[in-house]
Amino acid sequence: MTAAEPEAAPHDAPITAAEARTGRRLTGALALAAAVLLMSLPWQAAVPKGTDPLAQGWWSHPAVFPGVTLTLILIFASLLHLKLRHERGEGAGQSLAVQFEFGAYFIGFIFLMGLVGFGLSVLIFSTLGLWRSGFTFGRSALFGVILTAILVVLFRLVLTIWFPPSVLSSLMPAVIGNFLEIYF
Amino acid sequence: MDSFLLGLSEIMHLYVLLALVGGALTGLIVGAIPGLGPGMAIAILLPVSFGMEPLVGLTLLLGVYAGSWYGGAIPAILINTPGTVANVMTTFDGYPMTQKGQSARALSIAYSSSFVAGILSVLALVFLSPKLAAVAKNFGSPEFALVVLFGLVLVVAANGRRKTEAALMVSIGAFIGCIGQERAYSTFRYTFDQTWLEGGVTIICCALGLFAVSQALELVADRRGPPTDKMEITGGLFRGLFEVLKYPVTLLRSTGLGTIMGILPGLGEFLAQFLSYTAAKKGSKTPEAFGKGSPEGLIATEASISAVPAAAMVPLLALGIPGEELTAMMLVTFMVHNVIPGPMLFELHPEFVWGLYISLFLMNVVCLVTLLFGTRWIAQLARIDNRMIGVCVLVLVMIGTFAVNYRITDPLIALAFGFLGLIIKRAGMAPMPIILGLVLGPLFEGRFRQVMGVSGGDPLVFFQRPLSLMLIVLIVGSIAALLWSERKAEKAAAAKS
Repeated sequence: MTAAEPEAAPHDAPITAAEARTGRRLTGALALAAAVLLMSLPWQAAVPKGTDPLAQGWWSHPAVFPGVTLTLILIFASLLHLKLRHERGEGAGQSLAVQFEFGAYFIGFIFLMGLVGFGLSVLIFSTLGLWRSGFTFGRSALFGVILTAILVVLFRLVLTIWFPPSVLSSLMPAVIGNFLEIYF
Repeated sequence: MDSFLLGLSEIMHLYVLLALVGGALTGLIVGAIPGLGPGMAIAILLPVSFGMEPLVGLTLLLGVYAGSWYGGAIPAILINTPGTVANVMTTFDGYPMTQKGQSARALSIAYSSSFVAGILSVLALVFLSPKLAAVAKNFGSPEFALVVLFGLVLVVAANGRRKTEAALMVSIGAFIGCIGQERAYSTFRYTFDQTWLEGGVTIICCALGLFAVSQALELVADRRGPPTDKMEITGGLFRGLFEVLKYPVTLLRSTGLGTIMGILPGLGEFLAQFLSYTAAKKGSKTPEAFGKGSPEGLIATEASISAVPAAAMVPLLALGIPGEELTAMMLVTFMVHNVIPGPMLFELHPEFVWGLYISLFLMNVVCLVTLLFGTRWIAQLARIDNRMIGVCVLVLVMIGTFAVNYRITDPLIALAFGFLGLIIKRAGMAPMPIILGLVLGPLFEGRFRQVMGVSGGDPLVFFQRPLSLMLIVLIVGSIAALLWSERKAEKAAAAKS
């Protein structure tokens, strides 16, 4: 096999049909969001009540820069949306189902930390994450235990990063609760 | 000489040396594992660097930056899979050499070209940054505002046919930079009465989301498993080490192009390697060998990308303005420690500047020596399953975002940016200019307000100073050159078809 020679820089590569479809949705959503945010400019970037809005010059008004950037987003997103309308073709886009599933696990991981503490939440998240990505439960659990041990040593013992006390540690007898809070 | 000795004494501390070796090793490993990249690793290490001395933190981050281009060549050459996105063109000539049984020769050519380019670009940094800083001493707010604007224009310009996409991303970043408390009236913008938004969106959340979460979400869904190709290295790595010296013109031209592309904001590795490869092919006596295992082609790509990291530090150190997303993240480390990069840095902290030069120089030595003795082990890292890496990255993102402000909302913001980055990538666009917009946007706003305030609202102030006028000419010239080159390329494409 001989590698293909470059004919264009990476960002000059032609766009695929699936990319164009995602691009249309993205730019449409961005243009809409920019328009809504622009409409809320008078409330979301206002000077404090009772202050002359031009006291420090128009250039210092809080709305100027967000107004300019939002207008630019609206213009560029709309231009791209129009450009991508003409890009048609076959090819299915990739589903985001797995990514959303892991996004949900990640949110669960964040809230679980307050309930069971740093170490246990890492163990549960990594085991569940790997298991759901197709590994056997045994391998996932082993990976989870090793990863948890490494991270607990690194972040809790060496770098002593603080994490909020968990509900679980408060339910335990004082000796165990303190141990979990400090080391786990 | 005094500054050099001061710099030397700065780096002769255990923590700096550990950061030097640790950063370079992390970079090599990150580069050797396809799917990871320096952006993701720097974003993850960014919160860690906040707790370190500025020189230690920056040495660590620069080690990752420089080391990853070295490491990225390993899977590109051995299994035709680029270790980082910048190593795509390494496969063009590196892998055919492996197929011919010359893997060790290809690897040693790649390492030695990276090493020579890395060292020469550090020399360019040593020579150019004080000169640029001396010019920048005469800069006032109008010039700084225009330099930032120049950076933003080049970021957009560097994106070939995807300029509108880049402009959109920069604008998104600049808008995100507006969120939170503003300075003139101490009022809050776009916080929707949410206290967690009052401090604004931190670059950590944005960078970790765009670089790390978006990539991790792709990795956890990757069920292909690790590459099964044999990673055989036939021959000794020392043998081809001096072969680069047979192609001095290609080596120097590629290093020069990489250095220039590194210094100019927004251009970076992609354009450097593309231009370098094209120029090397045009200037070669054997252009037909390119893409079939040409050592010249390999030298051109590797030298150009390895010259970028040190060169990218020139505008950051001399002007305080990052030219691309990786140095933009490093600027945050400067800011956290109240070390303000720019012209005064060279007068106030010469030991820091020289410490950085020396550590960059040593980093190339560490990378080369490590690779000459450890390539066989590092190459095996490419066999780690992407799903395991994805899960690890997500855990590290949670820790990294939470540990900066101890706010539960920060990991959620990073997750939101992760999905945004993922969708942007799926749309065939590059989300990275968002980071530059986020860093450069507020800088521009601050400088612009200063200029207008001092001039009483007269925009002509930009045209009244020779330096700012020169910068305006430069900006207009760049845009004109860009449009001209684009039209020329379109005409050439039309003539071809």
